[in-house]
Amino acid sequence: MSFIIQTLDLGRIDYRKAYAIQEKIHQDCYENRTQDTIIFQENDPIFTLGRNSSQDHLLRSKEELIDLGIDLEYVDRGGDITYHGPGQLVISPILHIKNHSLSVHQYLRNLEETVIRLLRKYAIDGQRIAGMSGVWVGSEKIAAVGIAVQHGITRHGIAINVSPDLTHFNYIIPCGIQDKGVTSLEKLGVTITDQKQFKVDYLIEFDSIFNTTTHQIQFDKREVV
Amino acid sequence: MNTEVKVPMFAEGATKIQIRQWMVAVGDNVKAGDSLCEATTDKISIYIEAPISGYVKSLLVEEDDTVAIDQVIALISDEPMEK
Repeated sequence: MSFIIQTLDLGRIDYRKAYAIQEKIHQDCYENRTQDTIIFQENDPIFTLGRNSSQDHLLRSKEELIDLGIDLEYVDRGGDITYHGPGQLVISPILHIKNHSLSVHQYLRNLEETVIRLLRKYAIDGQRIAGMSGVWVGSEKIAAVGIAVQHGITRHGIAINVSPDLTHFNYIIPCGIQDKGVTSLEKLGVTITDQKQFKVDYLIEFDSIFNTTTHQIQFDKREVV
Repeated sequence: MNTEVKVPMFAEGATKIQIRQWMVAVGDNVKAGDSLCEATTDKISIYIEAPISGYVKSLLVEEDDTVAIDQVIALISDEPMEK
């Protein structure tokens, strides 16, 4: 059986606005007012601190962040500190995982697999590193993952570095990992000129791994914020 | 009668599961499926739910405590607490 999933592309959006939309959809999903949904978004520059964050992994003061134009927010996903910003595609599936007979852990691994297969299409060899989450190219992370599950429904997800300003990662110890770096498709010589096609390519891999059928719907942010 | 609330199997291989935040207090009336607390591993945050409707009789671990899968972390009573 294939599950129908709707897709919402929020485009470039303030992190908090997008979070409010994600929460609304999550609640609607729980109350069966809407179906499982994949949200795409690209945020204004922001550091988010997950539930396992250490303040020591933020290497700049709040005042310095204001000068740099980078926001800061605490969020309810697992994981440590990470960066979101223009050029990074954040993908947040709002999914009833039990419908897919998946453990939370397996769901996380599947999410990484969607990105590994997507990158393969673009001739990039993304891999897992034992004991660490996310997708890596060599010793540099190209996609960070962090999820929350409430009422058996997921939120948050995986963020792919397409062409973000990688210098922004210098202001943190990403995910609290000291001895690894970050990379992007751009840094690896891959330029994404057609962002819509990149998302379509992602959904093809998602559908293949999760046995879903995704379709895009028209979306007006004002309806839910 | 008391019903045990256990840490569910949500992350095989997780070496450290922590209770981050209790969302209820002793004596609270809860419905089956209500979120009782948030638990995290390194990359996953889950909300542990009430298995039945009733009243929170006791919370057996504290915030930031490390717990194991299947560990009993709370008791739900089907009778109200005496004030």
